[in-house]
Amino acid sequence: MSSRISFPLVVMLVLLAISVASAQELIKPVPVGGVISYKIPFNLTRLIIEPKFKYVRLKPGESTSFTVKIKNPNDKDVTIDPKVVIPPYSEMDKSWVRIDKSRFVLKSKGNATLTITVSVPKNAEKGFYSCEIAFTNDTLPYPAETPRFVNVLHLSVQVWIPPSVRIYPTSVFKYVEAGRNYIFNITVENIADRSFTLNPKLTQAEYYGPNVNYLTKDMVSIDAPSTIPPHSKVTVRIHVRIPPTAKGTLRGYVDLGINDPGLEDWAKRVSISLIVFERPTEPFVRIIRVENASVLKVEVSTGLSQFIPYVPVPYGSPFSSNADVSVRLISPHGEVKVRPKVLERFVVTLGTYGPPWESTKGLYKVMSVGKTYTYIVENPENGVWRIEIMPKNCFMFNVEVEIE
Amino acid sequence: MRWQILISLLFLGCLSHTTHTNLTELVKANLYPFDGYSYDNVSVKVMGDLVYVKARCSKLDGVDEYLFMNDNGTLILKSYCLEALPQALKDELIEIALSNETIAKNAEGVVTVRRILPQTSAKFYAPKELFSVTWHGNSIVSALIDLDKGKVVRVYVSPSRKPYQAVSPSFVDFVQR
Repeated sequence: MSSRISFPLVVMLVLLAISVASAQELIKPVPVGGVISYKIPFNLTRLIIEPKFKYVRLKPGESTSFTVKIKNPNDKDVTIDPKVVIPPYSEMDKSWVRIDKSRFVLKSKGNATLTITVSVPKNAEKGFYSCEIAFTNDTLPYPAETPRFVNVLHLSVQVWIPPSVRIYPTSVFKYVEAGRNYIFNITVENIADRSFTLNPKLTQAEYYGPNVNYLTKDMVSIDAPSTIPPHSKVTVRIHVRIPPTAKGTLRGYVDLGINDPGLEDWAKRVSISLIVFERPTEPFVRIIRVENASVLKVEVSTGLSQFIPYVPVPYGSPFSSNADVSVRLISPHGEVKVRPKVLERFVVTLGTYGPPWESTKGLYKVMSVGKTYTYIVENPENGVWRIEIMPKNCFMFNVEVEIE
Repeated sequence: MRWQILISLLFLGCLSHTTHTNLTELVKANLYPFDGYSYDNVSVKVMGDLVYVKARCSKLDGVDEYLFMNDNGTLILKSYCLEALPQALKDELIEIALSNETIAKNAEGVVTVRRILPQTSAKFYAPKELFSVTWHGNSIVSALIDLDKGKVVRVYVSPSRKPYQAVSPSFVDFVQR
């Protein structure tokens, strides 16, 4: 009997044989340091390491030391072999970290304390660096670009340079009127022995949200010297022209372009938030008719800043605490002077409501304040009354009129 | 560093093994001022086992508050609200938070910017200092921010409700990671 085997089938069989051979190669034991080692998933020796995470902040050329406690809760002795592991994304060098103990055996239920010294070279650049200090060779049995050690201390090193230049204020938050020009003065102080350069420019930031617009170059001009001499102050003048048609919030940044290596990028900028506000020139007016009433009661409450979307309103801002109104009650025969009863309202939380990452439970926080003015007129005159309310430092107010 | 420690000891219980000096030292060792700054005014109030601390830095806006439990001379941090931050950084963080579309669509009301310590951050992202930007309006809208990466790493939006009306924790809703 003749057998006929097609060419494609032969190719498939060859490929299958190669793949089986490769698989057998993969499960072969791997010699590590002269010892045959089999990786068995989840059969890992775990140690208790305190702390698991350490953050240090050093200037170039500085060093610091800290201790790490290792406890062996296992029923067997464990070989501690500390080593510095640099993740691929980190630019830290192993030479930055010294560990005072090398390979040793930690007895079952025993403790050990290691001293770790971090030294930042003088030429290190500012930034965040990280590494792991692995105390054993145990790794997680998952495929990964680099071995994932189990018994590790995560070390985070921030290299910083003290800033020599101070900027104040670093944010401008103002209610502005369309069609008007404004000048904002920013003071830049150099406390160092050397001079720095200054090159301010308007920049824009990513910003979502309705009713928010960018400040554009045609609206902003900046006057500034090009250098800040040692131990001196200079003034940067930011001129802003609010277009007559402007609405909503105008936002932008002035990057002062200061070449101080100690300043973070965010610290070199002046944030500008301008809310275009049409200041009322006339009071709000409500006409009411009073007929044989025993009491006319008018309650006016100032609105709280919580109704303004997208606008950072820090505590103490005039729009959160100084909101006020001026009220006039005008009877058919002229203004009636009434001393109002003033009620102040505070919304205070105990930290109960918030995102899960804010641990504020048990701490009182005043979230907002408001005032209510109550005007009571006994036996009001019959006829048409006029209530005039002029807001001050607030965008909204509530009015309740009760005629008994 | 100039420390002005005011200790108001209101003994509802008593500090078993802790003298006032020890407590001052303990408190000093357990405070976390913002990077590069130090507190120049710290007030400490003891209520039984609880230790309330308010710390201010004259160069920063806001106050840092801590609530510790004194466990036989060991201070255990129970709660904290760290709002003493440079204004420019607060603006930067608000900007980062609003670059997230979920936040931008839901943000309204008073905004707070708070530091989150690594021990808390570890549960939500990584054991490093993060920042929480939260709007307290008809709902609580919050962004957890990793400043090193300049991005929002977690978002929280509570159900819409009247401001500060009680909400069952079961209504808490994570929108996205």
